[in-house]
Amino acid sequence: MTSADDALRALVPDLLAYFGRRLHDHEDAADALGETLLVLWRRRSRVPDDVEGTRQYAFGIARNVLASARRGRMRRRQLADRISEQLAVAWSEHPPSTDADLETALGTLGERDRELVLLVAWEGFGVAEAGAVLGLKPDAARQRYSRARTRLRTELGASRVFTRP
Amino acid sequence: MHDDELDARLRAADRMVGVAIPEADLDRAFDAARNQGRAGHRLRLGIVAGAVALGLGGGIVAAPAVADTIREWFAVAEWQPDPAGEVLPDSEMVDLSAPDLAEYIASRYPEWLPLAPGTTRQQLIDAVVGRWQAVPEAGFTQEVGFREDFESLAYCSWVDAWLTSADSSVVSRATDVMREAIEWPAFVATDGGGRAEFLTAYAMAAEAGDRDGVQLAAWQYGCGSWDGESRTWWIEQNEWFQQNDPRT
Repeated sequence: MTSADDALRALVPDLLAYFGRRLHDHEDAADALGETLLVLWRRRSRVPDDVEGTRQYAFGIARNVLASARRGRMRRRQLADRISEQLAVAWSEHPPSTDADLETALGTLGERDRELVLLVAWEGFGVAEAGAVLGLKPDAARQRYSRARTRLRTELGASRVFTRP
Repeated sequence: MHDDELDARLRAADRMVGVAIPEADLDRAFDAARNQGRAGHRLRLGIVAGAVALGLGGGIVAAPAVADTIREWFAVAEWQPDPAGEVLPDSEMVDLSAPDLAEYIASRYPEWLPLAPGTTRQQLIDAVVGRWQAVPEAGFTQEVGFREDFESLAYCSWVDAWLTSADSSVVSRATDVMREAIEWPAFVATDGGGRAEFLTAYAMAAEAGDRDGVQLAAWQYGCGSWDGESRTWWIEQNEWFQQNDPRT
């Protein structure tokens, strides 16, 4: 593999996690991963050279694929069927915990603000880097992030106390 | 609620904690995508006899006056599409002299396509059928070209709406659609290099309220709301575009 291939391959677990967190159907998550990898491969000449740039670029593609998946517009390419099976098994053996109040609170945020919070919390991006994935300038990202978290705290403060099952 | 409690709840809601996928399966998915990408890699053909075939860098076939506008855009933007056109191996070839061409084109209309208020499905079908029936030399083209035309016209409907509507909800929806259009399937399939970057730059312009950037989109796609002003300076001054310039 080329170094560009290596860089993209290294992102596969993170991209799968991205879709698994947002698409709760294992087939959809695997399909979205396959679609993203396909788009990345076709556009690999435009993938930035540096690691962080590659990651931001890949998640930018993933975000668009996610939007297509949520609209039911993704092709079934069967590129990641084994992963789909593995996800199904993992989620059946260890059902993810749910936090309905948190989901409700996140639902009060706009799509980009919600993604900003989640890219930082789940994908480990810095706020500015998450903003870049979403097409936001650093200052705007920081302001939105701060506002979004304040809103989440307020919403959750008004809801019942969460306890893990 | 404190920040650390919010962080804890966000972490606890992560469905992928503890999910371990074997590296061999990740490898398999990566290789499958790479192999399909290679198989679908544009097979360059020098000639598709008589066809207008995806010219203008996988662009649209437009009425002559509009086509001139689009060609001017390519020239001024210094973006040189592949003049030979390309053939996508998974897209059906269509005989432009077939008697049922109009019905076939209508059958390719993407029902999911979002249209700006005032634009109808039938208008788009009539426009695309009219364009292709007006092609002077009969020949062959690919099915994806019709879908690309539909996507281009739908995109234009929203660019026009963004530039002309006084309704903030329409402008907001137009902004969203301009972002979504980056991943419209025929746009992606026929991206001969640079389309995604330009569409992204236009989406960012729309999100930033930058009329000049959206006017550039109107110019490139031959939309009715283009004011006729060349804005090549916008390309040169746009920070994001300079970092993602497909012409370099």
